[in-house]
Amino acid sequence: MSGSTYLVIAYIIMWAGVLAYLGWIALRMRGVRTELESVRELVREREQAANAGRAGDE
Amino acid sequence: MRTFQTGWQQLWSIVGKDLRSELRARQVWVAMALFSALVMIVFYFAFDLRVENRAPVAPGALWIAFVFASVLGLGRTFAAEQEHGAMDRLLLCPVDRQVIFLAKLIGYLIFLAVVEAIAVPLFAAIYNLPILSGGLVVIVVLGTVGIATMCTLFAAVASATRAREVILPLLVFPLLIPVVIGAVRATQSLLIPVVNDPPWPGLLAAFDVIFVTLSVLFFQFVVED
Amino acid sequence: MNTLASDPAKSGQQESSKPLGKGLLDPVRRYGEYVLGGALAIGMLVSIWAAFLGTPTDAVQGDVQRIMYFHVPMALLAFFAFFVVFVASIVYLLRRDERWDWLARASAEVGVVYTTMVLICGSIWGKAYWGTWWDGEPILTTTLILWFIYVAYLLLRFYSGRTESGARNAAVLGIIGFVDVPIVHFAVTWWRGLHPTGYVLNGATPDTPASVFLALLLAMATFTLLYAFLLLQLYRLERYTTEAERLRAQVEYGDDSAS
Repeated sequence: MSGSTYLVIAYIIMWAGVLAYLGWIALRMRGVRTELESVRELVREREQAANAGRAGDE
Repeated sequence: MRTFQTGWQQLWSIVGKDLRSELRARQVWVAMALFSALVMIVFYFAFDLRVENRAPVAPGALWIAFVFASVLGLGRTFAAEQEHGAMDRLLLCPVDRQVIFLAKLIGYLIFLAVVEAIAVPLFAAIYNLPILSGGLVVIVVLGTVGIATMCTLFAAVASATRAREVILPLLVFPLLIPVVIGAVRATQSLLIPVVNDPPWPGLLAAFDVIFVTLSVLFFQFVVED
Repeated sequence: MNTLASDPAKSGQQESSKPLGKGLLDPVRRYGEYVLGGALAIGMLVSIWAAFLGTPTDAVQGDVQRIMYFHVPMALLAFFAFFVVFVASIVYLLRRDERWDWLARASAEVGVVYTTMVLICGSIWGKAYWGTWWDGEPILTTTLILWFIYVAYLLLRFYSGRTESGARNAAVLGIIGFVDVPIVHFAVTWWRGLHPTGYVLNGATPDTPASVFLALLLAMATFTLLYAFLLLQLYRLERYTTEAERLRAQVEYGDDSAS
């Protein structure tokens, strides 16, 4: 293989690696956002239920 | 002065306690010595050692045996301590963290010294090398201090995780590379003197000083709760 | 309203979300990200152009020498990333502010990714130029050990979970690992008997064309932007994950106290 073949291979591996890493970060970010949203939703529901329970007691 | 004396007494009482519990678990000492001997035998076959290549290769086998044995023994010791909650109780005592670390280190060094006292003569016999000398004792002591320091500190780190047996060598081996290089080269130069070789025993001593200082400084953060 | 304020779950949430409210990189976060992303995209294109077309072919090595334009900047930035881990770990141990811990963790991850790239590209370069994938050359060997130290750092973080003791232990490793790197380099260099290592800018003489340095500087700037961008994303990921875990624990704790 000539030098330029190695050069092209190295460039492809590197940029593919960087893009794959960016994609993986995006996936993780989406995952944690979904988790955060659902937990916040859960907290809100819990609060509403607690408020409703108190209103019922009174 | 008084605080220094109390620290000194505390140090040796912890060392004594550790040694007593180690003595009670006699099978570990035997197992470690056997393990080191076994590693050396495996190397003996793996490299098909003959007279001409024995001197450059054999020191590597010796030090690999020591490094493996150190990690193996320590993982077990700390696991036992964690199970019985001995470490937690020790941390409740009004003793300096530095003193606790030094006590653990000294206790472990004594333990390793016994294992090595069995393994080194075995090594000399298996590889048929004229290596038993005062110089070797110095090198073994210097190398062992470096290995044991890092192992003791990171055994405490690893014992706080979910996978302590797996993670301990991963943490310790890369950090120990300088000590291993120094110890192997110093042992080699006992067998075949090299001109213009760097002063490896001196460098080993320098690595030891750096590692002990760092560990004494940072152990308090590892066990703080 | 009064009952809401005295609700233990509610007040607990406010208490725990207070330190999370303001991030260490908050001002950058608001608008900086778009500027950063745009500059990064432009920088990538320009530096690829500069590396391939804007510079002359190396007389000795031929085209493969162009690997240098991303190999060297990435290596320097990887080292810088681990320096950031080192500093953030020290500050964390002194101040016990978890934001520094997030920073250390994020920087270590980017550093490991960069180091991986450097090792892969370096051995491809080595194969083309020296004819071997791996040569026991001191800088290469040190880089490999560096990689092992920080992979172990990430593994330690993974195995300790998001606890305070995990953060402290990782900080200790982040400091000792960084201090160990020069020692490793020193030992490895002496182990090989001190042979010269000046091949990075091979043949950098006064008549090396200015475009080579310019392209190198451009690539340096691009990879710095990439580092900043990745750091920002990972830092934010840490923040969100911590927040989500805390809320989740609170919800579950609330469950236990209710039953």
